[in-house]
Amino acid sequence: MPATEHFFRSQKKLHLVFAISCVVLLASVISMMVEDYADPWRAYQSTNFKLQAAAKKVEIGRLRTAEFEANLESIEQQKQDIDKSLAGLKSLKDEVDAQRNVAVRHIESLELRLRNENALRDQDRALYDLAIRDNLSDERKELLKKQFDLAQVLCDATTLKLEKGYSELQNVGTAATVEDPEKAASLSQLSALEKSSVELTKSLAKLVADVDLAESALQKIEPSGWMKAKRKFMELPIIEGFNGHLKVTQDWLPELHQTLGMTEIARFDRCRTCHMNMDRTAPGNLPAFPHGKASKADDIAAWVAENKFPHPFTTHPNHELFVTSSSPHPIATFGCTACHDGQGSGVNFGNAEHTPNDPHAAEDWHHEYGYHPNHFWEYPMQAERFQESTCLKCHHNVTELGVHPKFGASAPKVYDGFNLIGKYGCFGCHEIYGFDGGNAIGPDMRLEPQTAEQEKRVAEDVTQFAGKYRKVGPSLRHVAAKAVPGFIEYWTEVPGRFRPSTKMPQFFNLTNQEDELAQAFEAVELAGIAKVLLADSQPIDLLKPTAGYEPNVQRGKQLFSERGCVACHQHEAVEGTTAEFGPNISDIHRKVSRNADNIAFSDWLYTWIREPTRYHARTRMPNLYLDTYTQDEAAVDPAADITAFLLSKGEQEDFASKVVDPLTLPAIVKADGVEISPLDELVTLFLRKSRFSEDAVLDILKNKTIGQPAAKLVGDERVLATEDGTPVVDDAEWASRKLEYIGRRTISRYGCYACHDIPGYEDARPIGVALQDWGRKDTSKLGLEHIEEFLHHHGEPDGSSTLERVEQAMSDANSGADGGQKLENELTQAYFYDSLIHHGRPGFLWQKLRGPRTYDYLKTETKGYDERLRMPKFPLKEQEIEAIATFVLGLVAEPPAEQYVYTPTERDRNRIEGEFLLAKYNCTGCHMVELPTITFGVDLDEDVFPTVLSDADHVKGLELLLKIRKPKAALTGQRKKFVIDGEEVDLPLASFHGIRMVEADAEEEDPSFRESGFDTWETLDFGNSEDPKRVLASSRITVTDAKMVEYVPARGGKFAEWLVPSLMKKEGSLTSDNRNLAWQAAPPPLYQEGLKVQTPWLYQFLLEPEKIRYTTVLRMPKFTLSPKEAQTLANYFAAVDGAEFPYQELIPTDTDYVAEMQDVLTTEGLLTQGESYLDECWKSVNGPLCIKCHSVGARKYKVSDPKKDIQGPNLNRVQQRLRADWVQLWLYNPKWITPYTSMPVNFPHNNRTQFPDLFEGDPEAQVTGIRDALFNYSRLLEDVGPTVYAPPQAEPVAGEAAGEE
Amino acid sequence: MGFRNQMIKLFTSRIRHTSVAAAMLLSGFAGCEYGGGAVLVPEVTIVPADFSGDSLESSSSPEAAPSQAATSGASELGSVVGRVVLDGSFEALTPLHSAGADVKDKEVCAKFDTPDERLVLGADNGVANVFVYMQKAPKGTQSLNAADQELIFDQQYCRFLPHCLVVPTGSTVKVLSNDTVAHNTHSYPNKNQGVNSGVAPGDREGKLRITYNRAEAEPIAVKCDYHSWMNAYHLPIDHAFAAVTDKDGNFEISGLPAGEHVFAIWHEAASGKFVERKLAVQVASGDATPIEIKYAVSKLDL
Repeated sequence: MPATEHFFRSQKKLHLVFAISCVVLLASVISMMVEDYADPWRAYQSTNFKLQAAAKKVEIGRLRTAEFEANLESIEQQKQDIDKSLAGLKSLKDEVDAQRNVAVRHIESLELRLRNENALRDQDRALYDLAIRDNLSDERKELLKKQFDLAQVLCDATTLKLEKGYSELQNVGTAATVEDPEKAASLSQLSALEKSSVELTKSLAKLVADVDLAESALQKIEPSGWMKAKRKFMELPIIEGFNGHLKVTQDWLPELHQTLGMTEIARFDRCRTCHMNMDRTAPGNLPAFPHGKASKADDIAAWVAENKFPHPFTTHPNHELFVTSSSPHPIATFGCTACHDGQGSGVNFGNAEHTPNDPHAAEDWHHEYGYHPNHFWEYPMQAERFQESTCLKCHHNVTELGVHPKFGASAPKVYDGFNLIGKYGCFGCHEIYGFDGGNAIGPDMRLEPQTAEQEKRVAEDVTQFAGKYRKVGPSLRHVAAKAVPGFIEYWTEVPGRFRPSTKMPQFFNLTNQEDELAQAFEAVELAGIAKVLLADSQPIDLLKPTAGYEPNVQRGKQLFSERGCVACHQHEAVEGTTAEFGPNISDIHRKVSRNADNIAFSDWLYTWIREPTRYHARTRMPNLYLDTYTQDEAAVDPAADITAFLLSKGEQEDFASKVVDPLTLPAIVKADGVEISPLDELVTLFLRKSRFSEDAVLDILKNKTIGQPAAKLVGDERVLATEDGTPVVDDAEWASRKLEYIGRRTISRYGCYACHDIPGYEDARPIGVALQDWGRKDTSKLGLEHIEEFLHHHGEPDGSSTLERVEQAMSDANSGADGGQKLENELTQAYFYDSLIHHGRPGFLWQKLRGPRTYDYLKTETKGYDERLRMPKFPLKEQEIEAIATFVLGLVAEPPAEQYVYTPTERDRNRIEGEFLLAKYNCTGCHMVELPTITFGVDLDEDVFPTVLSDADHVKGLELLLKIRKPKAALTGQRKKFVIDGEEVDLPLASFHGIRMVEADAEEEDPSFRESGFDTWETLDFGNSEDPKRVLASSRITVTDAKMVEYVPARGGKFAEWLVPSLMKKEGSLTSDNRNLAWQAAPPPLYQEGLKVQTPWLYQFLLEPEKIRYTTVLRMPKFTLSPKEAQTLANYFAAVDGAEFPYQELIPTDTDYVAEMQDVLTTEGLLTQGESYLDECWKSVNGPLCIKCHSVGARKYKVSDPKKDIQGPNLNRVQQRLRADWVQLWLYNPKWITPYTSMPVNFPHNNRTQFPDLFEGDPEAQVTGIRDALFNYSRLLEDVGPTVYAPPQAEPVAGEAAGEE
Repeated sequence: MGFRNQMIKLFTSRIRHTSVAAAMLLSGFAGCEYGGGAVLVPEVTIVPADFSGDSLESSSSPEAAPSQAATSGASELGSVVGRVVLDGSFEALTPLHSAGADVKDKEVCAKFDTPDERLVLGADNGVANVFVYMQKAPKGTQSLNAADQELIFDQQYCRFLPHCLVVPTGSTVKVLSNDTVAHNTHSYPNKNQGVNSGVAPGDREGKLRITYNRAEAEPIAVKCDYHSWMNAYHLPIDHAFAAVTDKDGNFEISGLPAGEHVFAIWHEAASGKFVERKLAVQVASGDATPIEIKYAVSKLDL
């Protein structure tokens, strides 16, 4: 087509359209830019710059005190004065400077010359050496030697000149070399002025250093002058894109993957774009911007003044553990979302996927930030209440989150959850398998292998790891010997009815068993369970006290208290017992079977107390060594006495009359009008389930036979069959077989074997859902069904509506009144409810634990009886449910890259696994593992007296003490105001570890006069580096109630603390001497046990505890520890104390050491020729001292009064048991190690007369000698044999004793 | 009475022994320390302050106090002289172990009968070894500075001598031994640092020295762990108003300002350790105020 002038569209119109679209595009671009520019993070960052500037200014203000200004002014003034004086001496100064220059130049030229001459000399030397090597002629060698000597002479001459030059330079400008006295005076004035000028400059720099630093920092935060204009300019739109100061902060974590959709990608965290101050700390490792609500919400000055900052300007609340570069989780390595979840790349409130902690907070956020839950983001941020659950991704041992030497309980809630699962044995049904093949994926909580075969299987397979947990319930292997008739049914139906504090959950009488059918079936099932357990119970040989032994109830009560029973159990007859590790056994007399011939005694209970493993091989109840002993010439059987005491509370109960006989139940009328007994109906149900046809079942019931011999059947049905398959003749036997069949089906259905050892069920599998990845369970797979309706109408334990409860909580929260902890608890319930309504995992879990069967609401009518939910109801409190939920939600089986998973060092691993074992066996029930911490206001002049060493103390002992118990700074650096005796005083706070040895006077009411005395076990320093005030271990520190700030009880040792006063009461008086003796009788605190004992010995001792002390009222019991566990525990004590493990060097046993000691002491004159070192040591031990309290070298210790005498431990064990340094310190001063000991300082440093002929009477050598004899004990006993050493007697007693006439 | 008869028997049967023992027993029979409660009363110089009240602030100079006391205070001071008497009859305690008994170090420790010193009665039922003291010094009296004072705490035949000792704070207790076997001295204070150290046989120098920094609210036990029957009591105190009754139960506390004072009466055999926790005594200036403290037999806890 030819070109024309004609346009297809009107040009004018097109221009118009173009113009309009340009304008629209421009407008939209501008609006986009405006919107982008208006992102809230920019405002936060601007505010933050202002905030930081304000804080900096405050800091500068604090630095520029009046004193500072005065100092500054005075220094500047002095400097001016000096400068003025120097100006007066200018000509002299110039002259001196010139002289100095000349001298320096002279030195420089000499130095150059010396270098050249040295080089030439070295060359000559080399030539001479080569001549020797090449064996040149003697003349040639002599010539070369001469040349070298000549060169050396030159070098020496120049060196001398140079030294002279140096000293001349020193003297330039000094008065000494000038003869003119006037000039000399001016010169000394000049040098003094120059010196003070330099010093002033230095002190000025030192004075202003901090201020300068702060001011230059301020300049960067808030520039002034031209920089301010530049800063403003850089804030302009578009311009700010060119590296402006407001910008998105990114933490890029390429190896810490996150899962998005189906793929794993690197993590970008932009959280610090808004949360800018997360890692900021102030001097002293304090948070620079602690969170808090300042009095004025919008006033930066108020925030700074009150040191309380709102989000997002705050420092991380736990900055010592997270975010900061010195913490174990620096932000550069871990980012934020690895722990918090949420969308790290989001830079506004919504995109970051924040999650409110309760529905009330959600409403607030909705108003403030337009918050709404986003269902499309897979991993929204963790609500604060579940924050700790993500710790489990990397911390698979969990224990370190609850107990840590530095961080304490860093994640207490998840640790609680972990312990609750361990306590209630959830893992019995719900396996928590921490491994995927050989890789760790999370916490591992599984049952230990149950049989030898299982153990072997695990041992042979490298990809398998044995579980560590024991079944939490008692063994039922020999239950027939234990329980009275009817008790099993009565107990199982509602365990809390017999023992309210039981851990056993309730399986029966729950919400989905309220219908008549279930009620009838339940009675059959309960009887069935009892039938099976009793039928399968294996015979056991019970122990019996010696025939004719008369148990003593009163003594039984005392032994029950003293021998450690109450370390784990409570009993209402024994006052003050609170232990919850074992069951409360106040009612045990009601349930245990008695002897047929003596209703007042129970051989079963006697056997259980005396030798628990006889009844239950894997019990955690230890063997307490309740062996028969002789008292006042009569035999005492402590186990029999304790049995008698426990049974003395009353008669056994007739439970048989309280349970329903299933054969007497009324018949069930079926829909077709047929009547059938509940037992037969249940048998029908289960047989039908096992694919027997309806007719076959009818035949079986009618003919009393299953039609096949028992051997041919594999399932539980075999109990219905006789050996040859013939019908059962006897009706009663047939009923019994049916009952047993139901019992077996019920045990399998409810998984009783998850917690109990039941014969025949050793290989049975857990019945519940595995939990190791439950935290990622697809929410669409949660069976929620009618739960919302249930909670709407019922839901609460009393039948009231949960919805109403939640609504009430929300309206209380909205009313704005401070509801305190109660409202917080209610909002927690509201959170879970809300989560459940929105099909969340937390909500599902919550309701599952509150009312496990409520998910069957309205469904029992259509479900088969055997399809009803089976999860039992545990006696959990609301808080416990939250803790368990926190733990379970953290089970995600998504371990990050290997380097992020917490892999402890060998030492830490032993510590962590040891902590687990301390809890598993309740070691801390008896033993303190951390002493109480006392924090108090200290008046340094009155409350503490620095320890003064006397002539009797060994300086070497002190050095050893300071090595073993390093001094700890007692002052915390804080101060507090106290009212003492009516006056207000401001005192520094001090904190230390110690045991209360003096109780405040009960009759004194004035807190200023209520005094407690504590023995410190550590060396403390109450001063500072300038004024040290050292208080050695074993010092008494008296604290009045008025000055007490905090008393943190010991970790562990509740039993010991309970036992001490009760023993004192028995002794009749509460005096200090009795308390010391009572502590000696109680389980010892395991303070620095690792530094005390040899690890291999401890290992052996844990497996087979021997009797060590004679002063105690109880012995270390024997636990059913595996060798591996004993090893871990032995290592644990060394690991926590930083001691060597698993092996220790024992220097005193080394023959080289002995030979060396022989030489050293001979040289020092302490050994004479012919004396053998070890022989002298052996004499020291066999002298008249050790034998006072210990049996020594085959000689028996002499007892005067067996009740009052203190017998020390056997010395023959020292060489295997104790560490050498520890023994030496112990001999120097035993109280420094154990303040309450009876062992005295036997070798005071100033006492040279007691063994004057041993090591020339030197007590220090005697201490080392005794130690060395103890470590060579068996060798000496064999080589030298029993020895008695008697020191030469001093002259007959010189004086008369005082008080004599 | 039983106790006296026993002492006579002791006397007649042991007279042949060494002169030391004889002298000792004689003294015991004659009513001296042995068996009658070994008492060592510290020599304390009492420095009464000015009690008039109006010049308390001005008497800050330590030298000023005695002269003022000499001039103005003396006439206003009084003293308490008294006796602790057991109210009721009591069979004397049998010895802890008799001579020759098979105890540890018997050649020394069982050379003679070892008396049970928990309750020692003197003439007319006077109770020895009772501490009579004030728990707090009366206002206006100066606290005691006894830094240069030395007390002796001795041991012989496996007994501590004296059995009861008042120890001014700051003073030094020299621990001696006159036995040929080793002992150890273990103190159990409440507010002071405890001591537990061996004492070598025949140590007459007193290498072990004990000093108490603080006053205690009641006497504290001192024991020997080697010989479990050996015990004694120390009362560390920071003023001068304390005494231990002698073998006949007599005591005297002087230098007291006139007025009402509260005394604690402490005895080891009393149930709860106190015969009286708070005994108020009106002290008149000048003459001694005589008091008799009745110690009911029912209060005994033996």
